[in-house]
Amino acid sequence: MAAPSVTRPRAIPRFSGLAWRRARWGYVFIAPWLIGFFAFTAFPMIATFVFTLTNINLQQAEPLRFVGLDNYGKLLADPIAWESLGVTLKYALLALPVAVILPFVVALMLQSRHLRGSGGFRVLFFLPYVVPFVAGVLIWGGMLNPDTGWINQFLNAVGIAHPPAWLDDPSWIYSGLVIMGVWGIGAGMIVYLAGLKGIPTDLYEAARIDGAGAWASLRHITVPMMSPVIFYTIVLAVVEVLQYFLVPLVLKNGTGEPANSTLFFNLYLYKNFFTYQNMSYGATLAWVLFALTLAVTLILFGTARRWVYYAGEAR
Amino acid sequence: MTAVSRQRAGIFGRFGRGRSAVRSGGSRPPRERGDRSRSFLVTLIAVVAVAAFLSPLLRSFSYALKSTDQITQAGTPLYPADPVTFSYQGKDLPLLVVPLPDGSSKPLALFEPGRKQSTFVDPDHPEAAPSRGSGRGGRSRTSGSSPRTGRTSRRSGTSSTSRGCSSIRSRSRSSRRSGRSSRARWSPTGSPGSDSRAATCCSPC
Repeated sequence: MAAPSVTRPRAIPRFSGLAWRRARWGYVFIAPWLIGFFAFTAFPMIATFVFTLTNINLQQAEPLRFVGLDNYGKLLADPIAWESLGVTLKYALLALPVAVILPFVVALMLQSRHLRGSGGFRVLFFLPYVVPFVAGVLIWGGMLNPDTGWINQFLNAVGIAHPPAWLDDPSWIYSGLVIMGVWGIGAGMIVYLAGLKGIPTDLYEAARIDGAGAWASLRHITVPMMSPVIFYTIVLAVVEVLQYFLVPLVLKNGTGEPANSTLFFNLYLYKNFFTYQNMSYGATLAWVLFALTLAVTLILFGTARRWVYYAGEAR
Repeated sequence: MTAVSRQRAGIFGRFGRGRSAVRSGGSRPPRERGDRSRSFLVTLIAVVAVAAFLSPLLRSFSYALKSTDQITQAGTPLYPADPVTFSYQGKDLPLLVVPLPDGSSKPLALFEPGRKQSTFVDPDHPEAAPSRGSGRGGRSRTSGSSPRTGRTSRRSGTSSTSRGCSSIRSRSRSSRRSGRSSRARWSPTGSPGSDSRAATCCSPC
């Protein structure tokens, strides 16, 4: 028996008249985005990289000159830069597990068939996400006030005589900031809920027939099936944590108080740019932060092959 | 299984809110009873979590209704309120809940505020011998004074009575240890002053 012949569509040469006419309209339609990308993203990025190799400082009228890698050398010898990096990493260690796990737990609770009125709860948990950022920070500043804040009043009521000064004590400030960050779980919760809804119920039914309990179902079905969503959340959380600085900027006016414990790397970068107006050094810090974020993200993508499960993917 | 019931199983299946148990007669299957208690527990946890989660919103809402005076003081109620005062010698004295050396607390009118020691007027015992205490070591000493009339009122209220004055350390050792301190008493804005009464009272302590 002769093998069935397969008719393939005739390939159109890339730069033939027909291909070009077809592509031309495509380019016309994406041109606004392309122009915006090059003008407002690519060009500023390249410009800041060029800045790192110069001595632009708006407060000192020195003539512009090429300084090579001096700014990078200055960064390596700058104790405040290292301290601010340490602050960011300390906060990341506390904030990342909360940012990844808490929305997942809340989403599981909201998805539970035992919960009554889950739609209402969903709205209520998402509600703080729509509160304006500065208002939210100020509200939490009041909540964490050592004297009049409700959290310390609650701790007093349950017998803790000397609750911490959350936002004034360097050893408690990160916990305070993480507590404030809990209000931002709304977006993560929605993403997790969408992921949970996408898990086929057949898997749970099959597991139940095999005698799996709730914990086994969670461990062997929910978490593996949710691993792409968890991975996505981790990547976003890492990027957000490394760029964290707006809360301390609003809360402490960018002073880094108490004892430089809120001088995050991005805040130090911001101060170099806009307070000290040292554009070259600020740009250097920005590029180092970019490289650090890229490195961490690449490492995460490298590990993803081991623990992230994509249904239908050949392994 | 019909298309509708299949769809229902999909939506209300493992994670949904389907009511799978069919009631027969008056008895309820034990599984449903377990489900109900689990539902109650999960819903209770969710309610507590939401209450804690949204408490800052409630606080900011209550702030929207309060005066600046009320916002800046600790221990004020959630609703808009004015401080309860006790008029004495034509002056409105703030009524504070003062921790006493014996561990109890009592509402006293602050007559003479001090950094370490304050003088209070006791509005509950206008007939009692006026007293002044040092508060040192939790003990007080008394000294005489003569009667005068008055009554407790809100800040905007009228005159008051008291005959007892006591001088107590603002925060005794024991209260400092337990973190207790004097707090103002508040009554809802627009309501009449609480605990109004008239009696003869005393001269300045």
